[in-house]
Amino acid sequence: MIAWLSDWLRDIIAVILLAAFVELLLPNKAMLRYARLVIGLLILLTIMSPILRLLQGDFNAKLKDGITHWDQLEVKREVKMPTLSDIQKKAEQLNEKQESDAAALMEQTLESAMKSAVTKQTGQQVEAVDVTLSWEKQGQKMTPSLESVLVSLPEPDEQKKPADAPSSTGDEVQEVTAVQVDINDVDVQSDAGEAAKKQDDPNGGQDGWVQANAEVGKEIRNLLAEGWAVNPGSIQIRQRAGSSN
Amino acid sequence: MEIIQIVGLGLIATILIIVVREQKPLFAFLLAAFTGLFIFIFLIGKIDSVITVLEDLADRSGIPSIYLKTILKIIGIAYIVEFGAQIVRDAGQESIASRIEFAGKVLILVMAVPIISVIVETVMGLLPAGG
Repeated sequence: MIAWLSDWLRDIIAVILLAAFVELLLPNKAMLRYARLVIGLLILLTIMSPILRLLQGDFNAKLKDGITHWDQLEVKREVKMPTLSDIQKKAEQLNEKQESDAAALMEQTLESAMKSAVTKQTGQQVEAVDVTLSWEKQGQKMTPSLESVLVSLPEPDEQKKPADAPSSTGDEVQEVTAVQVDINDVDVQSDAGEAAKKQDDPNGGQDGWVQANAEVGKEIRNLLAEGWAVNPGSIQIRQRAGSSN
Repeated sequence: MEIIQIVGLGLIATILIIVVREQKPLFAFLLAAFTGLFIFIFLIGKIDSVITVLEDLADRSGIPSIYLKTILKIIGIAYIVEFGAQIVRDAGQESIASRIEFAGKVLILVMAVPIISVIVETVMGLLPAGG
């Protein structure tokens, strides 16, 4: 009992000595009040320590936990300035996203334009036009070029004669030629050959799809090749498999 | 005798500043700031021995090291704030100096938050639960 009492008293005396020392060390009076508050709390804690220990076990550990937790919070809260490389990385990501968005938008516009043009020019109902763009590096910038066009025609019921289609409305097509599309002309021959082969084989398509008949196919192909300067070899035209083909 | 060196340095710096101030007030300020910095750095090493004594005291009495850490942090903040505010005040920017001191006060109070929370928790624990 006496030992415990002397321990406690020693603690209190040490903390008070410490406080006196600190007050001497403090450089100016303005800080004194604030420092005194904290030191007073510490002294209070020391004096109360027997009660605290009785009530809630090891309060020192708790205090330590609290302080370390607080320190960590402060570290986390520190504003981190992004470094230059971070910013550049972000900019690159944004650029890529923007480019892909632009490409998607371009594909969509091209698809709808081609669809309406084909419908208008040939009178053929078009189910969907699928445009795939490929990106080519030219110097610093990536430039898009039309890689392939897939035209899907609906099931041929009463096929309109292609001759019905008005062939004089070339001006619409002229407008859209403003879209600059790079085409690598090297593969034209081989692609055209492949396409011709595919066309010869009417059942070569996927399930439910067959190659469109040659006449319509050729017309659409010519139209797209003229209007958008698409490589004729990279145009695929398919048709829903129907009874008559 | 370091005290002679420091006082001598201070006197020389003061005379130089008085001489220069008429012609170039900017240089006078720079001289004052530099002298203050020099004395501060010169003496900050001496405080080391005082802190060693404090640590020794804390060790021997067995008070938790977290107390000493908190107290030393308070002293450090107080010194740094005092030093910075004094230089700014020399340059004539009283308002900025008081802001620096304000920041120091806030940071010292932040030190007290964990201690206060422990005490408050204890007092709450003392109260009867159903009361």
